Amino acid sequence: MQEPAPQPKKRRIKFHSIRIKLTLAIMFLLIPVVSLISILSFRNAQTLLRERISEQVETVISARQDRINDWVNRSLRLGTLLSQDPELQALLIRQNKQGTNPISAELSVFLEKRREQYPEIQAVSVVSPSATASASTETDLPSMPKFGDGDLAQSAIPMLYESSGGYFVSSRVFSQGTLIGTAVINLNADAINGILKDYSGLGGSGEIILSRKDAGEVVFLNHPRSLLNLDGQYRLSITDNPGIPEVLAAQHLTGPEISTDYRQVEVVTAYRYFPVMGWGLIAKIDTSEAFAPIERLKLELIQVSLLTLILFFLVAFMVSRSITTPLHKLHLGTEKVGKGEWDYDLDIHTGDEVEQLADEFATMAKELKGLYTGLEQKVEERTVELQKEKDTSEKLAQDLQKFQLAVENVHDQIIITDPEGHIIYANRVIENNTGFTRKEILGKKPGELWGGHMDKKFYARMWKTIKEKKKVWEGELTNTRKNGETYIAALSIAPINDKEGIVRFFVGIERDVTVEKEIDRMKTEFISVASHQLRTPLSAIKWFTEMLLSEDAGKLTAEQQKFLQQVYRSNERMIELVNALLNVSRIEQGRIAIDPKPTNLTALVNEVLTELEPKIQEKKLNIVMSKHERLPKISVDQKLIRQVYANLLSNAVKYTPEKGEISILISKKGDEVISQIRDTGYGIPIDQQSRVFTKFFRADNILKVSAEGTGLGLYIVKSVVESSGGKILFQSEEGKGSTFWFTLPVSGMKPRKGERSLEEAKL
Amino acid sequence: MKSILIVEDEEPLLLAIQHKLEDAGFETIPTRDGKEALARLTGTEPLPDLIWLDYYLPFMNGLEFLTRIKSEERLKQIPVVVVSNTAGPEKVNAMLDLGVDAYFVKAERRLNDIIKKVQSIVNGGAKHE
Repeated sequence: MQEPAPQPKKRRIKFHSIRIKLTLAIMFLLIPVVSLISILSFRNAQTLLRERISEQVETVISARQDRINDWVNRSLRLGTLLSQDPELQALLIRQNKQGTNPISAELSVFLEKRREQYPEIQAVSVVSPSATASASTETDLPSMPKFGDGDLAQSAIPMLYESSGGYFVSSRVFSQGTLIGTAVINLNADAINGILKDYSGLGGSGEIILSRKDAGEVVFLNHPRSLLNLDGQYRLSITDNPGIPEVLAAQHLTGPEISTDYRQVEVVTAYRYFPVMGWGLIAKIDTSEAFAPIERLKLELIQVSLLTLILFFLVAFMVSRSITTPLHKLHLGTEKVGKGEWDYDLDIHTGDEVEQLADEFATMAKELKGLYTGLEQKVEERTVELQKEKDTSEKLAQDLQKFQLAVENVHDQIIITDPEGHIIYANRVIENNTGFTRKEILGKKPGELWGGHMDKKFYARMWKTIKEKKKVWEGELTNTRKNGETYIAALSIAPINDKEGIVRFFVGIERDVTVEKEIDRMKTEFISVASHQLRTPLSAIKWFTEMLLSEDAGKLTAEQQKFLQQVYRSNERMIELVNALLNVSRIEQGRIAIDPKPTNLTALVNEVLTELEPKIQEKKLNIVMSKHERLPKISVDQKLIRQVYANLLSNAVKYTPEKGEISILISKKGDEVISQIRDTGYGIPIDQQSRVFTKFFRADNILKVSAEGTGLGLYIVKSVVESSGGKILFQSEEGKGSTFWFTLPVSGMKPRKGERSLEEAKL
Repeated sequence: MKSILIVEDEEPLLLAIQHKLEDAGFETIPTRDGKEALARLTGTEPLPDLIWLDYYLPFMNGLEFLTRIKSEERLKQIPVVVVSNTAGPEKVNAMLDLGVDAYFVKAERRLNDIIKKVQSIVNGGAKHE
């Protein structure tokens, strides 16, 4: 038995992997693109928005700056108007002349008048240059700034400033070049606060802050949204908050558009500076608010990007799926087909290369199916055959066992061989016959043991008969015993076939016929010698009777003549018998010489008929002779074939009653010449027909008709015909007649050297 | 008178042949084997007109005897008729080849028929049948 080859471990390939690979590939390609686009869009939008916001803040601050400037100018004009007021000038002149505060009441009235006149004026005061006298609309003047500096004193231009949360315009009053006083207007801050509180354009978080540097600090002049509840002014240390926009603005500096304000909140800022007043103005908006759209956009972009990616992922998945699904199907299909589901429908209709592949695969599967089913069928058939063979073999083995039991002690030598001739069984007698023990011969061929002494052709014919024709072979052969002694064996080999006609065994039955042959030979020789010896006296009787009958020794009486005739006829029968016996013995000894010559069979028949003519005449028989139109001459031994015709025809004549008919037909069919001799004679009883060709046979019915006849004629005829390569057969019905046919090959007889020819039959 | 040398070892047959030939007007010289016959032929007596020869003979058979006489110039002209029980066809053929004028199987033939043949040969007739 062969070891089954180790099955290669099946590697399961996940067809998802292509899907994943493809999807991932697409995603890897898409993610940067989408991200890039998103980021660029975002950046772009951000920049645009920032610019827009900056512009907006700038616009707002410009507008506020203008309005503050307006307000400042208006306020300054108010100062100018007041300082140039002639009424004020006159009052001041008078006061200066009259000494300390003589006219303060009048001035107060005047100032009150002006305050009422200009709603921008919250309070107004006037002081003398020496600041010794003053007048005010307010009783309390501490809020009034002190004018200590010379510049102010020298300048006729009014000046606006802030101090402790109040806005003031101070303007010098001159009269003919002489300073006569200073007017200080405490401005109503509503206007400017209104400007600074106007957050329009700055959203919900925007602020406008006016600040001023005050020593090391920056002070907020207004209260922005987030400082509404603050009492007092908001101050920032410059050193602690260097980058804060309010601080920068108050120092006439600008910072980045986006920075962190005093609240530590990121803002978009625009800067302005009012140089005369030393104010810094900023407008700002919280980036959180300003860039809220950007954040929204960011979110949207992320969402859109994600959505896009998901979409692409799905598409990629679908695409790859559309590729892998048929592939997967194909894979499943191959598995199914691999397991023998030949007709498994792959169900792939993609209309692309995969379908093409699937079609090819289906075709291949179909072919494989054909092959496989063919193979399967063969295997099945073979299995059944093998089973049958096994059964047959077992049965044969059983049969053989029985057979062996039966033949073990039989006197004939029986061997069984396999189809190649190896001995598988031999019965006990073999040890006596051949001198070999049974152990010695098992598995060997007889040809290696006692056989093999005949010529090759002999064995070739034997094997042909038993192995190819599968027929029983019978023959005699010379073998050698283990001790070297030769013996003659009569051997019969029968092939044992199974139901299918295959040869399984050969059974050979062999008998040592050396002694028998010797006896037979002696018998035949005896007959030969005896017959020969008989001939001389028979010849003498024949001739002397003949001489007596021809009255050489004197006249005979009628009765003597009659008696001598009887002697003569009896002697003739004796001669005929001896001749027949001699022929038989020669045939049996195989000593017949065959000397073929091209022969006209019709002429041969006519010769025989001529010899038979007297008897035919006597019985008034009708002879019908016909022959094949183109009957060829065939090469036969004329004496032998003449003997055949002579025997058959003389039988016909002998055993046909008077006025009967004998028809002879010589025809040719294929490569045979057929001679037919038909008579309307007594026929052969059906129960004796099987013995017609045996030696010394004479039918009962003809024994009554004629006592003459040796019973050897047909035996000789059959022997001659068969040794000439022909066949003989007959058909007969008692009382109606017989028909004999014999064939001769057109190719003729093969010459054979022999000692003897046959004695001619006595007709 | 024509003379015929008979070589036949069987006394009764010799007698029958002799009788029949003498009846037919021949002088007969009976011998019982080939030696005796050869002695007669090689002697001083005149040669016979025909030899009647059997095949199965003592000392030498018919073929051997025939071979001897056919090898001698003086003897080979004498016609020979072989009258025998069957010999093998080869021997018969061999004898015919040596120049036998007729061949008869004893038991098959009436003596009269053989005598007729002998007469025709001696009288310068045709050769063997």
